Amino acid sequence: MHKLAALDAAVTESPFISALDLQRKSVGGARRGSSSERRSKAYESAIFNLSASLPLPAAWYQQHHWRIYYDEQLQKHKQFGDEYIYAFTWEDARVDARLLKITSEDVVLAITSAGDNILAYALEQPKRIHAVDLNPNQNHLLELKVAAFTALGYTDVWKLFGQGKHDDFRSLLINHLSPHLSSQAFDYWLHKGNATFGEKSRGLYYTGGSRHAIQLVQWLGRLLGIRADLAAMCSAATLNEQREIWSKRVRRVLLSQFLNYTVIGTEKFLWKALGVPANQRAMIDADYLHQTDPKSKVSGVKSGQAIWEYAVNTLDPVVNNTLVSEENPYYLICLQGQYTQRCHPEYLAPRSHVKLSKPNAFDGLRIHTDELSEVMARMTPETLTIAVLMDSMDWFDPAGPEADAQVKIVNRALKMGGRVLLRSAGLKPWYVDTFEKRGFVAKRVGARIPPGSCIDR
Amino acid sequence: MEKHLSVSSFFHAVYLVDFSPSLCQVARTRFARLGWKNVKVVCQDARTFKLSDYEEGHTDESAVFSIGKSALDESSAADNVGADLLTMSYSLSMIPEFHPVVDSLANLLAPNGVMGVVDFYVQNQIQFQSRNYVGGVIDRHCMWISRIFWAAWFEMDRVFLDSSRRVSACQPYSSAVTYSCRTIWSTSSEQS
Repeated sequence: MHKLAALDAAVTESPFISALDLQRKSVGGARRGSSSERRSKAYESAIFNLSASLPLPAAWYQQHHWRIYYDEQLQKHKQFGDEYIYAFTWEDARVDARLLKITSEDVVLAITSAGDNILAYALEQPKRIHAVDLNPNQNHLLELKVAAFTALGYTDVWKLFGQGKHDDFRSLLINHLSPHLSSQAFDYWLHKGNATFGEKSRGLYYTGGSRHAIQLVQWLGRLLGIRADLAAMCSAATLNEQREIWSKRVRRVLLSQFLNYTVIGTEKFLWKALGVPANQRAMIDADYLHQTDPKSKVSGVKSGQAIWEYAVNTLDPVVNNTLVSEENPYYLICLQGQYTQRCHPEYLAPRSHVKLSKPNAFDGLRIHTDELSEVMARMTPETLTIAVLMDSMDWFDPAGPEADAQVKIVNRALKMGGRVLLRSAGLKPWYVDTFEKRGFVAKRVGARIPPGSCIDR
Repeated sequence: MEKHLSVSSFFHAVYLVDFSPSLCQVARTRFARLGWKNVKVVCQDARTFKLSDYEEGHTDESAVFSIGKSALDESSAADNVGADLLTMSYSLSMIPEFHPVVDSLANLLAPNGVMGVVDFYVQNQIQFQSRNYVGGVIDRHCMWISRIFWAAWFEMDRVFLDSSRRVSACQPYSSAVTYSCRTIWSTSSEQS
């Protein structure tokens, strides 16, 4: 029962049971008293299973407390099948770090995605990181990364996540990583590992839904005869050299109208490859309309054109201002499907490995498999200092009640003075109003206006 | 096992139980050749095997036959001697009467012992759905043709793949790691 209480406290961010009474005396009781009803899913499952004389879930027997118990057989988790959408995170962790200035006192909640951003936050060693994703497979990927840092040397970590390939994955998994993984993550990687990292596969970055984007770039490269140019861009030594290759050949092909109408503007591509849901697409469309002709209506807009505009605004400044071969791993990975020693996310640097392979590096990490609102609702009020919601709220329906409900829950889970970092495909996300109504102060820290400004890097 | 640990020096004792005299003889010759003196081959019906019959420290009280006692009542049923590691490799499906063997597992295992089971099985997803303690269900479900075909096929060799064997051996315990793949399954359960 002691373990039960400790685990529950660790997950819900509630004060540890033995300290609860002390806490209640000093705080006055009324507010803290509510935490007795706020229980973790692990706690609820344990109470149910014990009362029915059933064994406890596998999560109770893990070596590490990183992965929080979830019921893998629920439809909301099964809907993703056995595939993650993102094999790498698009969001620039360095920009986030500059904005957030994470300290050792911070309690951060962020969406797992491919886990790259979570590792970037872990480098700053905050008090606690809550990584949340509804898709269990995204969390399996993060768990694999965390286990790799815990058990493997730099060479193997680089092979797995820098190059995306390892010829001996199965033996690594069984002999070194397995004690550090949850049963579900181990099960997943034993099934998927060889197809992901093995000799016959093309590597980690060619798996998951995001592979469609990488494959498309390469397919286009071959089809349109700019493969050599793309490769040259990946290794260009100077910005001028890169600009020249870009404007002379690549830009003309990648951003051509024809391509947008036939491929990129289609619903299927957006969802599968880029993970852009219909609601987010509507926001991009609306911005495009607003900029061109504010009076025209949404109907009849050519989505392909809006996306084209979006691509121009995003890609042009990137190529003109950052050297892909050295300082922009996010575009490099799309162009060549693996990182290089010259250009990679911060967490893959040797000095990061030193930090992340320390015995207690991930003590503050909790990996939740559930909806954001579900996770935050189970937390003790006033726990978080930073919530990084990325573009998850673009997915909501503007007419629906979800956004307001979510903002309410975020507000409750945050400490006074806590911060929320949002990313949106829209220039003026409609839900910013919702935040302001609930007492938040909104501040835009980056935008792709005026046209030509660079938001990534 | 030798690939991961030195069997002759790591373990205090290893008991190998099998009911086939010819297989036991093969094993004895092998261990004699390897010089592993701590590995003991016992030719016995698994239904009646008790560790305290072989390990020192057993008393008259603990020598009482284990079957029929509740596995949950540790104070009265637990043997004085328990194994830290108990493995069943392709044996659960071959023991004709498996219930008494499954019942005796709890008594054979030390309080924090680990059990590892690997065997053939066939199962429908209905037979593990809504159970939050099975720990990983990828590829666990077998489609109906394979359920019928493999069960009948193995039966000809007196090997039984029925779902109840997997359930009865693993359900009483929490699974620390589970892995299923086509025609082979392995479940490792940790008892605590």
